[in-house]
Amino acid sequence: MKYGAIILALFIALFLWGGEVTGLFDAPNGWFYDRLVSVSFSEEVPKSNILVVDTGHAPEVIRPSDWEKLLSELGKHKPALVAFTFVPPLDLKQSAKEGVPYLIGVAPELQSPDYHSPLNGYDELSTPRGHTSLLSRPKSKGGIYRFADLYINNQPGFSLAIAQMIGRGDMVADVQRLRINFNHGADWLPVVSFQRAMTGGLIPELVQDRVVLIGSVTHLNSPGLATPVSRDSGTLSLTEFEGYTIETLLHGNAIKELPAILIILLLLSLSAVSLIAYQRMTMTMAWRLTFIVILIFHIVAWVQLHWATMWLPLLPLVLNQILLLLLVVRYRQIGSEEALHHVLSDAGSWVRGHLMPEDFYASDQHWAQVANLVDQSLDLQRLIFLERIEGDHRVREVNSLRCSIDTIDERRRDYERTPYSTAIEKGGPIRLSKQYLEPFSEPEQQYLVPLSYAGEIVGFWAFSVAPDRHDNLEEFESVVKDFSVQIAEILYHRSVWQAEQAASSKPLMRYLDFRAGDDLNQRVIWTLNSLERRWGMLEQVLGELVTCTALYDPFGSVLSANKSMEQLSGNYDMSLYEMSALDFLVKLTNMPVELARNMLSTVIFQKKELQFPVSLEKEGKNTFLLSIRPVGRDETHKLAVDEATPFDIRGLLFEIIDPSEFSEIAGIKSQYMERLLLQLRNDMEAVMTGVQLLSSDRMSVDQHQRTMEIILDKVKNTNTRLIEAEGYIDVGMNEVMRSSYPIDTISIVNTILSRRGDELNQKKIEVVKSFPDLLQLGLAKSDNLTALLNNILDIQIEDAGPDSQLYFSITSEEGAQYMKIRGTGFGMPDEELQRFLKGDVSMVSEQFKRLRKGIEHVSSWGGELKMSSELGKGITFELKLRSVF
Amino acid sequence: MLRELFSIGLESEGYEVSQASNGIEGQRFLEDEEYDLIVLDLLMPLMDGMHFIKWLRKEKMLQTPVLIMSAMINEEMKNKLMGFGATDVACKPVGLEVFLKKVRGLITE
Repeated sequence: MKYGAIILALFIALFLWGGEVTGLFDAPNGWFYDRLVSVSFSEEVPKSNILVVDTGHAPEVIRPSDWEKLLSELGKHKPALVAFTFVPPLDLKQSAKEGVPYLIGVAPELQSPDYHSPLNGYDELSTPRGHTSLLSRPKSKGGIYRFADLYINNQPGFSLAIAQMIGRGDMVADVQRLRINFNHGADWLPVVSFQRAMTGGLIPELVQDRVVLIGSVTHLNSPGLATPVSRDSGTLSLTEFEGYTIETLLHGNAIKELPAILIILLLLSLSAVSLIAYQRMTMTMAWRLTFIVILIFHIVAWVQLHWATMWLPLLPLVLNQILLLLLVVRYRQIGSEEALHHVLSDAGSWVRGHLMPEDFYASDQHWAQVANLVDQSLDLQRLIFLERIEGDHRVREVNSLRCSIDTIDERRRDYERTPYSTAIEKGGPIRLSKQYLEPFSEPEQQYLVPLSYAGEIVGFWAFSVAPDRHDNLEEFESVVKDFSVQIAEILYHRSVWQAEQAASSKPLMRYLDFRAGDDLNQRVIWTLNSLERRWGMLEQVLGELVTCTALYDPFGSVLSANKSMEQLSGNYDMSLYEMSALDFLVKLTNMPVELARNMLSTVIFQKKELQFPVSLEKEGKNTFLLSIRPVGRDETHKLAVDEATPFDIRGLLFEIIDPSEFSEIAGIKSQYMERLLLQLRNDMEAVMTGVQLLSSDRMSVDQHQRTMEIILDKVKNTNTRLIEAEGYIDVGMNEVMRSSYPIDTISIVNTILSRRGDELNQKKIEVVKSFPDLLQLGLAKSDNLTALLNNILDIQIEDAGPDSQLYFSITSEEGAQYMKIRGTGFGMPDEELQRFLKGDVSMVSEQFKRLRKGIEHVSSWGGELKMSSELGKGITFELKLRSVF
Repeated sequence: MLRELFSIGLESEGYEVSQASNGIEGQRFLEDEEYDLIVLDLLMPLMDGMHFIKWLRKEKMLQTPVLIMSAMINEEMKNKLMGFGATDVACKPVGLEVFLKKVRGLITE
């Protein structure tokens, strides 16, 4: 809701106001009030209008003569009034005659006609100078006595009667009840004991013009009154309570309360100011402000109470402030959640859009493509993808090839049982010993693979393969596991898509299931997982780049760096991930810091690519080229408007390029071009020769026909060759270095033998070469071929004995070239060599592990590597490469 | 293909021609028959022209005239080939007329 926060704030203010007005908060408010009343500093205490004469806990035992003496003593000092909080056992005629007015507080029940009133003897005292008035125990609020009722049974109560008798009653004419002012503490009332009063303790300053209140202060026979202030006993006596009431009345300083209209206005104003202030603050600041404001409320309330005798309703104010803060916190949380939802939704859509189009999940056709791809890659006999159904323990078919869900035994479709549980437990493919898919026409080995994504089992993949199809089962199962990760991800996205479809079609059911609204956690997990995988893939791509590459953010922190860059920085004792882009630039180029800073600014703000020569002595090469270029913002994926970056670029790409690599690449390309031109010239010559033949009149019809066919074939071949050449010429350095490319095999072999010449000489190994003078170009990745040949050389050197020979021969035939590397070393039984190449990988040395990798590389170029060995005769490697021209 | 075209050209001129697709096959032909002229390309599968001529002169000890044709022939290579026993060397592209003229010349010699 647009104005939700404001409406809620208004509601809070109204609720608190209502609570205050209706007395809902009396107890907690009273607690605040009592605390503030009891806090008193060096206040100036006003003169009391009262003198309390404490009769002790048993006034009835006081003799009449003592009473008369007391009254006589009091009369001498001209008190304004003598008031009794009990009915004294004496004749007050004398006192009245002496001009001292008196008042006797009488409990309401004593006025009952049925009651044998002790006042009977005082009837005649209802004179202008003698009165009785009702006096009763006051009413408390929550056990605390803060208020005094001025009227009892519609008659002026004791306190009001006293005020009226001394002519001060008009001050509170319209007030029924007043909040007693206890601000001056429990010791404010002057109290004189009866004994002391009798023994000359009464002086004119204490008595003259004061109301002398005679009663029991010790109140042992009745429970005391708990008030905001109290003596050591924790309570005040009724006499003292009346004393405070009379003092409040006579001083006219009863505690006033804020009118209801002002309370609501105050609450609303504070709400408005707070909402504005909170919006402009951080949450920490908002909490601090709330604390300070509450403290200020307390101080203001205390000051108001003690100086203006006005009670500020503290609880609603404090509550209002806290609730407003919580409201702002919640709204900010909602805002954050909405922003997060927005970001996740955008990121999710983007990731999903980049993963696969939506129709992929819906269409069986796309799943058939996946099934076909898997089938072709792994050469399977049958396969079926099964998905887990939420709320059901049976699997459902997604797609299958040469089988269906019906091929699976009815009793073996429950994924909570074996073999599914076994597969889940293993977390990878399991070979099935019992029949899972119904018998097939050919012998097969059946497998079941759990498909899990983000730790959740999303389905299963069952397939069968010919038992002798894969020699290396371990390798095969490892590939199957890699495939299963990919399939699981696709299946997971399908399940998310299906859930979304179901949700949009049955919104009511979602509400009934308490599943309405977005499942934020799932979205976060899904998006992060997808992004993590994409990020991992990008890092892998970056890692495989030939050049040393590091990506920095616009602030100069490393976002990612490839292995080559990590290796290079490690060689030069540079902590890549602890250095800023500026540090790195300075370290590489020895450039002054200020200049380097300017250079980076140029790249960032002018979006220019800059290049600097870099000398790296340890690399054994003179100069490298450091290229720094801005990585621009993709216009199609503009960042959020409020994203806190002032830059138009996303990062800085640092590349360290070895110019000698360019030269190498240029050499390879030039060699290729040279051969290409020769070949084209040859082709052209053939065409021209053919044309010349056609114009000859000595040719037979057959020869004529054959010549025509040859010309046509030649033209076709030339065209194909040109298209192929286009693919080889128009590629960058990375492609040349990383893809199979026409290479000069002899040159590579010669370079390797030359580099390792010393090593071979030391081992006294004679190298015998048999290379053709001219050889077609081979197809391989030059760096991988170099690594493979070096590895082969390592094995041969290790196998060689003293004075061994190493024969290198290269031959060629149409479209292929053959390299044979035969050593006359110790050799090994051929079975052992084959075991090293095809057996359990964990039992194989690093050399042979690398060799296995090399075999994979050769296969990927369309070539083949074979090895054989004989004990006592040595090891032979036979490498076949495809060739061009 | 060029081999086939030159063969057709030679046949149309009345010569009898045998074609070998590589040096090894050529060696086999020479085991069975005698020839008046051998035309070789330098770049051949299995056995290149250089190895073939070495074999012909040093192992087979035949003095049959040899015409070597290649696009990769420079002066240095030409001298090397002549040193190994080539009778004539033609740098591609060689037109049909030039080729036939060279053939005629070598056979007449």
